[in-house]
Amino acid sequence: MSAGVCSLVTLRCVSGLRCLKAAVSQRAVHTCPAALGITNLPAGRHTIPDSRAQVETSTAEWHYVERLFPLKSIPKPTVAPGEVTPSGWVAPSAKPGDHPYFVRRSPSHMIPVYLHHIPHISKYRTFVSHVEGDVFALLEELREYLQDRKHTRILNMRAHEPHQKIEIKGQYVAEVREFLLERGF
Amino acid sequence: MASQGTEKALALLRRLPRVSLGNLKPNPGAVKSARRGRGIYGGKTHGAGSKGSGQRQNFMRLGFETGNTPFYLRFPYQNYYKGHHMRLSYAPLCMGKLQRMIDTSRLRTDVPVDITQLSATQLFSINPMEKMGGIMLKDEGIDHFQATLNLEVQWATEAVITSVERNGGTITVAYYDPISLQAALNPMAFFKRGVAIPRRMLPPQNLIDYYSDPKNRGYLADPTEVARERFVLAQKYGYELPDIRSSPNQEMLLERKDPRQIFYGLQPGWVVNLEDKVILKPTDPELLEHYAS
Repeated sequence: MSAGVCSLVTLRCVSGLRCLKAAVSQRAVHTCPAALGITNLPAGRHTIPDSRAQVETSTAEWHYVERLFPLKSIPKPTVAPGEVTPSGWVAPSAKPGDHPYFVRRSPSHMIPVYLHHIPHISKYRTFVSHVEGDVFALLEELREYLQDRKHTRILNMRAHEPHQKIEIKGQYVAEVREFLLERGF
Repeated sequence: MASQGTEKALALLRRLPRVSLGNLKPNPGAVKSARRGRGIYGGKTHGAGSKGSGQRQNFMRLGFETGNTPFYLRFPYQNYYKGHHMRLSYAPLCMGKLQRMIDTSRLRTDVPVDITQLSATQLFSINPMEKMGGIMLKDEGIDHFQATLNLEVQWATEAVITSVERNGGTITVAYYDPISLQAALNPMAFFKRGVAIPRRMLPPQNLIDYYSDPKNRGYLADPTEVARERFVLAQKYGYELPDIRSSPNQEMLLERKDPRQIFYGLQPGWVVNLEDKVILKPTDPELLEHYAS
């Protein structure tokens, strides 16, 4: 048993010595620099000359900067109510009280009729938002209008009073927009 | 007394807010958290089956065809991907929508309309880091485009050029390198950084022909040739070219940027100080030479 341990120790000693020998061995070491001529080159100027910091100030061109200021909010259109613009956009002419309901424009002055589409089940729903006042009156009028225009037997539509919305199953964006435009919204 | 109390209660009711999203909430106990069903309401696997993708959600990679050579590897090359690493994408803008932006006062018409003015409307999302090059004009709605504009966009077709010039406007297509484009898209954020306005780079090799062509109204084309092409296009489509020199807003219509300039009236190398409302211009001749066109 003890002989076995001894032999192990000696082996370890031998391997350690070998390592030591390798470390102390006299081998040729490269001592010359990577680039021989680098010391002959002029020293690099890493300071920025003072003349770079010299500037002249001017306010003459400030109106060009003012032109770049973005607007803080969406501007109000200057078009008269009911006037049809070249793009087809019409400024709202209806006032609250003209109808039992009132549909206000979206913040960007567009008619709030939207199409929701779920592609993978091919589901289309049309939404009218911002319906203030009697939502159900608008629902009935819209139902009549769509039935005359589209001749559909089934019109699946409902009013969400707390959400101030009307939901119609199907794609009726153009018809509903036309309906709201006719009433001046 | 009782009637007074009732009236008070009714008055209070009238003043109370209507039922709306703001004051609606479900009844106590109405909302139940989803529970994992047992037995016939789910079973041990809950629809995920046993073994495989269903159970482990380690779905096959996109395009893998379970042993077939996938479609995307079946053919040696697809020509429509040629040079895809160089191509830029552009945010589309229809002429009809441009007219609507003007009608609803979203866009100023008393100053030249460039990428900065268009992006200030916040109606576009342009990200130069995603290899977007700016805005391209689409010909939808050219029939009712009536505005007289000095337009500068990054891509335009012949139909679009016709519709702009027929109304007495001018159009230029100009290239912005990603750094200049980022500065042009949000100049306020750029000025707040307190760095000098960069020099706009020239277009890359694959775009230099497009931006030097007077037919495209390129910003590198010779102005006399552009004027000739304006006349040629008017002859081709049979409309009378309005004379810009006699127009009341001639100055605005003829305002042009230098190919190295990003903002109208502001030279590369200048620093805009928004706090003190001054512009700092370098005087060092080396810097002036560096930023010179």
